[in-house]
Parts: sequence; structure tokens; C-alpha cells
Amino acid sequence: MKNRLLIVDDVQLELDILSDIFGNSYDIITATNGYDASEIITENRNSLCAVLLDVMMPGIDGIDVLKGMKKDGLLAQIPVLMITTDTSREVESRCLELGATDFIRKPFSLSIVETRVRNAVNLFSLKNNLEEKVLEQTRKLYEINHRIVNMLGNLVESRNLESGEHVQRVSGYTRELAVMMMERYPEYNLSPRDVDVIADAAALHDIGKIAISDMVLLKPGKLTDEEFGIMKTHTTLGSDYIKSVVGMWDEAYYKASYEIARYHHERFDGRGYPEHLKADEIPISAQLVSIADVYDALTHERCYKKAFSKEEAYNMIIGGECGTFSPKLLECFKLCFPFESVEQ
Amino acid sequence: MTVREFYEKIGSDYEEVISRLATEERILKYLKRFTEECAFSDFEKAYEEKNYEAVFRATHSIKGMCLNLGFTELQQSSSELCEMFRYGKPGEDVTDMVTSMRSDYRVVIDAIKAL
Repeated sequence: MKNRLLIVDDVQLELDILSDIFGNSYDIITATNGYDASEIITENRNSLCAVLLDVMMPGIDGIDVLKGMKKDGLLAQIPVLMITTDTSREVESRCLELGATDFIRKPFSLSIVETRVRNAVNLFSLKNNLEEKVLEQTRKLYEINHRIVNMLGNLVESRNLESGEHVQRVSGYTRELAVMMMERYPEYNLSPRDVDVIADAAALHDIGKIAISDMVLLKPGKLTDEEFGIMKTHTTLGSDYIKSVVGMWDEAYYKASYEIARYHHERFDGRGYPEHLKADEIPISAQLVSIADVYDALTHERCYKKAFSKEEAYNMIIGGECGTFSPKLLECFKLCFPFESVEQ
Repeated sequence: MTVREFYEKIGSDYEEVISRLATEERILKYLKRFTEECAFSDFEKAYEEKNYEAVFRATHSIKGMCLNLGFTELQQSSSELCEMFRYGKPGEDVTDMVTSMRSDYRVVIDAIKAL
């Protein structure tokens, strides 16, 4: 538990009185001016349990120190109690507005000062612990989302009589492409968290295949028009499944999974399915997965085709033989999977 | 002289002080410390140099210590001076006020030395 208390006052006698009050309960550091105080706060930001801060000091005064702490985002984690002699209402409200927790007014009464500081320290410790716990729970939740999504993706693969590797690879390619997209094209407003979610949700792109008959799904060779019509429904069936579990996952997961399952066969020129969306009408998540899915399908063997080399696959995608993609997406693809550098 | 007698001598309330600072041992320690503080000499220097901002700060410090140690008279006179210098120049009666604060300070210092 944090136990370091910083006391700042330009009058030594005041420092002595306050240090005596807390000497047994806290690890005391003192400063006699605002400059030293700011340095100590920066160095001890993770171990300070509270700061007692004199308002009136020559040079950098208590308000300046408080402003600095606010700027560094420290006031949410360290309580600051202002030491005041004659507080005008303006000074008091200024301190409170900036984020001071409480006031210690002269004359000091030992028991009141002690209680006041202890209350502030306890309150902040409780608050900080809670925040930490919430963060930890959120991390766990993300982890669980990640696992469920992966498990579902693998389940689809097992119906396909393939290993779960396709799902993992598509997810991996999608991540690489999404990172590149985030860095090069800020207009898509992708955050690192979006990249994580999209990469995870990519594992669910073919979830609708669960409902496609073996006769169609596992047929070696070319599908008839009717069979291809059935195959195409895996996009709408998949997004319908995902829609039916809304409320179980967080909103971001739901949105990305839905978009990817439904739109990963749309084409940039509007000739894809199921809704014939064009260009950036197609959600960026689905655009990323569509090229990753094609690339992986080309470079690995399927029940109806042999595997192409990475160089062949690269040329087929860039040459527009396997659908049309946005120029920005192709640029990312070129940067992520340049066949020249592929190990032979 | 005891601590109680000290407070009687300077015309202040011993009970009030002991209720806040808890032990005589502590009070004694702080009284000794008070004689070592430089706020009063800071005041004299600043007043002589007509550095009014520094006069304000020094009287402010003196006032703060007086509040904590329960020096009623000196707190009163330092407080009046502090307010006078808060927003700039001294008024006509500044000389009398300074004389009064010096004499209150003398009373406190002499009494501490007699402890």
C-alpha cells in the first residue's frame, strides 16, 4: 500500500508540526518550495498517498503545483490537501476547481488534521483499487471474448474438415493489414483496440457455414448455380447468428463480427454478395477480412483446388483476378505481403 | 515558568492551544523553533527595503505561526499588517502598526526565553 506523504510549506515550523502528526503513520517527505515539490511529486508519483500543500509560497506557489499535477493527470490518483492561513473564497474555489481534495486550515488541530488526511488517503486508496479491479475485469472480459470467438471459429473449421489453422491465419493476416491501415490511413479512425477486435472477429467470418449442407460445403469440384446460391447464404446466416447473441458480447465485438460475417464477400466494384455494397459502403472490417480470406484460400489447398505459391497469389490479387479491392487496401496488402521477401 | 504561565504572560489561551497540540512537550519544542524562524528578520529587511510583496509574505508567515501557537496579540498585529500590504502600499498608520507588532513580538520572544 502507498504510504508516502509529501508535506510542502515554506515555513519550517509548520513543516515540523505536520511532520510530528504523521511521523508514525506515514513515510514523510518534506519540501520548502513549489519547485522541489513538483520534482518530488514527479519522482514519487506511484508511491505518494497524499500531498499537503501550502497555498502561499514565494516563486512557484501551491496553486502552480496543483496546476502541474492536474496537467499530468495526477489529481485523480493522489489526494491534495491545501494548507491555508487566511483563505479568501476565491482562493478556496480556485483550488477546488483545479481538483484539490480538501483544506487544512490554521490553526492546526492535531486530531482533526490527522483524521482529515486519513479520510482522504482511505478514500483515494479505495477508489484507486476499484479502478484497478475494473481494469482487470475488463482485461479478463476481453480475454474471454477472444477465446469464445476463436472457439466458434474453430468449430466452423471442423465442419469444413479442415484444421483451425485457416481461421488463425485469416485472423493473423487481418491484424497485419489492419495495423497497416491504422498507420497509413487515419481517415478510417482505427484505434489499436479496433485492430484487436477486428482481428478477433475475423475468426467468425465463415460462421454461417455451420448451416450449409455437407453436399454443398464439402463438394469437390465446381458448384452448380443452385449450389453456389446456397453457399452464398453463409454470409446472411452467419450475421443472423451473431445478431441473435447480441447482448452477450460487448458492442464493439458484436459490430465487427456482424459486419465481417455478412460483408466479407462484398466486392469493391459492387459485384459481391449479399447486398452488392460498393467501395467504402463495405465496412472496413469486412474489407480487411475479405482480402485476408482470399489470400489464405489461394495459398492453401482446398477440397476443390490446389495451393498457389505466395508469388502467384500476390500477382493474382494485385492483378484483379480474385475480386476487386480498394486501392488503399491493396496498398496495405502490398506492404504486408510483398512476395519478393517471402522465404523460399 | 511553565507553559501555562507562559501563555498567561503573553495574554493567550493555554487551554485552547493544548487542546489542539495535545502535549506540552510538543508545544515547548515548537516555541523554541519559533525563536529560530527567520520570518521576523525577513519582515524587517523587506520593510526597510520597501519591498512590499516580501513584507506581505513575511507577515503572512508570522500570522500563520501565531495562529498555530496561539499567540493572540502578535497574531492580531501581524494580521493587520498583512492585510494592509496584501494589495500594495501601506497606509498612514503603518508606523504605529509596525511598532505595535515589534512590541508584541518582543513580548513573545522574551517570554519564550524565560521558559
